Amino acid sequence: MKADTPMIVGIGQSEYTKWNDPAHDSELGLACTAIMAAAADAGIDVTHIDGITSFGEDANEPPLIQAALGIEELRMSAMLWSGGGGGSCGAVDLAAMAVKSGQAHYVVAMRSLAQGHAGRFGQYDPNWRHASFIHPFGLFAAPQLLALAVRRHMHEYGTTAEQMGAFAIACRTHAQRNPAAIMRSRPMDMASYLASRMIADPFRLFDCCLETNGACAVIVTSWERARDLPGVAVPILSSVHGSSDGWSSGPLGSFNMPLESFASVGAAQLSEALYGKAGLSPSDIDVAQIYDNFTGVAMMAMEDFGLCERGGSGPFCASGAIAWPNGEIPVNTHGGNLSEAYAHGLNHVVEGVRQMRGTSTCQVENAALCLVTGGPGPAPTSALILGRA
Amino acid sequence: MPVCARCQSDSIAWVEASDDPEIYSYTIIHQANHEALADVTPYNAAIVIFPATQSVRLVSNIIDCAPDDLAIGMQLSLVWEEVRPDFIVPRFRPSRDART
Ligand SMILES: [Zn+2]
Repeated sequence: MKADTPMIVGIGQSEYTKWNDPAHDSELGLACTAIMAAAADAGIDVTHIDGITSFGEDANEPPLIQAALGIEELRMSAMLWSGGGGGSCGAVDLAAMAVKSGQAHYVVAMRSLAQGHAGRFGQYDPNWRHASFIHPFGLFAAPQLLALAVRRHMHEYGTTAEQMGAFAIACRTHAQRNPAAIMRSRPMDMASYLASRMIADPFRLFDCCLETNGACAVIVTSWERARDLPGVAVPILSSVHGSSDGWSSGPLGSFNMPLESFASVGAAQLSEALYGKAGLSPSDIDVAQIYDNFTGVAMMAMEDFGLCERGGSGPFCASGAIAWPNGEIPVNTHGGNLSEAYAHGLNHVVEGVRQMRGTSTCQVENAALCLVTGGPGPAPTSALILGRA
Repeated sequence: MPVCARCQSDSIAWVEASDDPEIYSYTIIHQANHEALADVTPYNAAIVIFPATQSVRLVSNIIDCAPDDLAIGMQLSLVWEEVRPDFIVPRFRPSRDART
């Protein structure tokens, strides 16, 4: 490991509840809870955090957080563009850049969501970027938009409902061991997956992620500073965010991405950059946390990031390859957005850190490299490779 | 200012699309997320391409077609539908001389 490798030294999360739970805290309150938990995990005083990053148009602006937590000096703050979960790993990428450049010493990447307060996703929004071209036809919610890409994948590669069900069941099964997971105590078999109601064909209810109140936070610092902290530091071996040629906002409205990559998440270039920066290849990866807004979309992301071949994610999932503990690459060992919580994918980074510390509730034995990917669909999207602590 | 993404020229003009619309992908929406759609749910939305006119896609609805009959590659005909006098949208129906 190089001496300029940025390190994740603290992870934190709030309690996760359903989006319409009347008892939930405010978004700012949830954010502060997660950040304080991450600081405690890192063994630093929360007031010494000097950088804040986020994504997904998070409404909890750094000055509010600074005031709420008594942060002494804010040296850096940045938001990764794009409205969806595309920036989950990108917020960590920004934090890593800030630490590497010396702009700030302890940067927290955070995301807080309380849709009961701030508005539920998936509703009609006249300000959506491609509204005039899609709203007159009744197309405006994420499952409807992304169903169009996945339907095409089914057509080109023969992907089936049962194969998407295998992805959903793997996430749900992993969540049974995770005390924080919303879907704990609700195991699912193929019959109940197939019986779930259709939302936007081919997506059934259980192809869709949860809607959650909750927050996550991840603290990044330099390799040198990490050495002086009591906690277990996890190296960020590679971090990238970006958007492929012609991809743009692709399946979230423009649909103008190249037809050759239409049935993908458009992350082929990003994947190459991710592995290239670390001098690694997909076959080196031991465990993966793949942003799962919808089953079939996450499966296309697995293809883009090389966990299986192009078009092969259906048979790969159905073979048991993504299921802990015996699968060749267990995926979403916390339960993912489908079954742990919809913390906009920052919970995938938190779980990646747990895997590299050896503390996951579905711990992959001897796991040395973890791939984490950001939301596919909205560009830019992003990804990380974490190394063993 | 709209420009060409290949050569950055701002010299643009309307051109007539080829008359070969077909379904590139589609979804059948079973949950109405807006009250205006409650009466028509389930309904479909499709991406329509014009193979001889490169890089042009339209999102639209396929009318006069049972959900089970929708298929990728289905040949279509354009229908201008008047939703309101000031609101006319392009929709499509299966082509009569079904070339699929
Ligand atoms: Zn040009």
